Amino acid sequence: MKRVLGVALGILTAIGGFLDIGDMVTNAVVGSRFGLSLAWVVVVGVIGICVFAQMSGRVAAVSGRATFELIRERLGPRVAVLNLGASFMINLMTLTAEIGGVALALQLVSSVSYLLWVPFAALAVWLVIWRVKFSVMENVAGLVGLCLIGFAVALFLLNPDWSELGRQAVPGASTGTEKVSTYWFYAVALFGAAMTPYEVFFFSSGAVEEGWTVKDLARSRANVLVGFPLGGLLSLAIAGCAAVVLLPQFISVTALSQVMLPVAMAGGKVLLALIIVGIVAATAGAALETTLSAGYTIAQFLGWPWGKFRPPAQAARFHLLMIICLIVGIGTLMTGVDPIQVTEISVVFSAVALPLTYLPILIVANDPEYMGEHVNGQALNGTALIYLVIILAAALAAIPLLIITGAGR
Amino acid sequence: MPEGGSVRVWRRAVGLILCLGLLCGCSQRAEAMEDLIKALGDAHSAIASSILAIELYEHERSTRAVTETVLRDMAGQIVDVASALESVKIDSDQTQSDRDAALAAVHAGVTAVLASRDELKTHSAVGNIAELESAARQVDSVLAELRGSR
Repeated sequence: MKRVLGVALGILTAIGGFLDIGDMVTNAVVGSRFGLSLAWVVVVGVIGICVFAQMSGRVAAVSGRATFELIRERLGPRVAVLNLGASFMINLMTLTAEIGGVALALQLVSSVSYLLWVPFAALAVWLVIWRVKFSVMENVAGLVGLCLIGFAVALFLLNPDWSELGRQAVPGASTGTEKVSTYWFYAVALFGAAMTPYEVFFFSSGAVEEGWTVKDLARSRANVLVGFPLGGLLSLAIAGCAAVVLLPQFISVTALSQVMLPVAMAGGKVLLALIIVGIVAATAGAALETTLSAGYTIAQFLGWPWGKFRPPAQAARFHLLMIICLIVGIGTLMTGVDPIQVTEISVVFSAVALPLTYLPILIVANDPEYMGEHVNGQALNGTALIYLVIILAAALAAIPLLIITGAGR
Repeated sequence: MPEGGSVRVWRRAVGLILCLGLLCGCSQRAEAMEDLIKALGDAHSAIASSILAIELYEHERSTRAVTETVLRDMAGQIVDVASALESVKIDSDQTQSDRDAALAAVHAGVTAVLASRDELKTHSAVGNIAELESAARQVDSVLAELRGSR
């Protein structure tokens, strides 16, 4: 019974923790401009993150070591530094966007400018990392993040024409007044948002933090294969709400506050309050994950002691690094840069960094020296290779599309 | 090369240069037109969001903080649109006239959104949204005209 409850808790946490500011903003922007015509990208992205996250979790559970440590050991420091550079920079950008997301969500509650909330949000993140147990931190953020189910409730309450939504969701449906290049730019952005690199590093390092072993493989699979797709459905619900309310009025989402309008229309103040709590939890949870991922990647590359399972005094450099990353995030946001723009750019650059993140994971997951009998099967390798081709295409297209479309403007 | 052949080459060169000039001119005009349409689309989006936010607030479906935030965000967006319009390159009388019409409509939108934002801040309510609706109509009309002439 205890085991079943543990699996259920893991799945619920995975659903609540799946969405971050990148998913929310990109899906709302896409829904308001393209309806559900890019829903297929969310499906492709969710399958991709499932493939690589469960691989990454399995590597950690079987070897007892985080993926990044093994990448450095298996592929050498030169290849690992490429992986590190790409992942770390994207992670830092995502961390900045998430802190901005928490601040924007708090502005929705208080109407006080988000800039004033930025330092408090970052301080809260640091305090939680410093003081709160890993499992408590992860479960609370994930479970409260479940409030985002309110988007699915909102979509049902809006009573949309489901057949019309279904027609929009057919791949290749009309892009309306939008250009084809803009459509593909957002396809790459959505893909990048779904497959953000920090998710796999956090997943594998988190497995080490929680002391997973081979016995936990089923739990790890359940978390990923059930939790992530259900989280992906919430992404689609956000796009659906925007498609039903904002698209017909030619309102393009450029601010988080606009994402609230369909929710208020559907469920009034109660649903609005629920969603805002969910956004605070989801962005705060993602801010915690990206801050920890920043520490994990550098510390694992340099061989420093790392992890929340160690007292901070024993992993001082790991904690100092996270503090520096938070300060850089605060500094960036304080320049007045729009957190939504940071988010949009970060998901596109995520797509650029994807090959450097996922190829090494695939190599390590196929090495019998680390994995023993738990190396990838043929079917999984086949799927992963197809995904590497998609990832490479997205990475190569991302920058040209960014330039051609003026970042989707 | 015989003299006739040289003249033909020159004529072709001049023709090519004229064609390129014409193409550049057309492409500049098309680019300016795209910029104007994009800006008006953004202005429409900001005004329509403001109207929707205020209506939801008046029907007690939204909170004051959310409404204030939407109006603040949309005020920032429409002010940016006005600045972007002012920097659109003018290369003909027609573009100048289109830009002026777009600017007038967007300025009406800026005034309406800022007024609504300030009214909500000071009186906790927005008396009427007629000014916003009028600005929206003005923006939509110029937008339709520009799309029609594209």
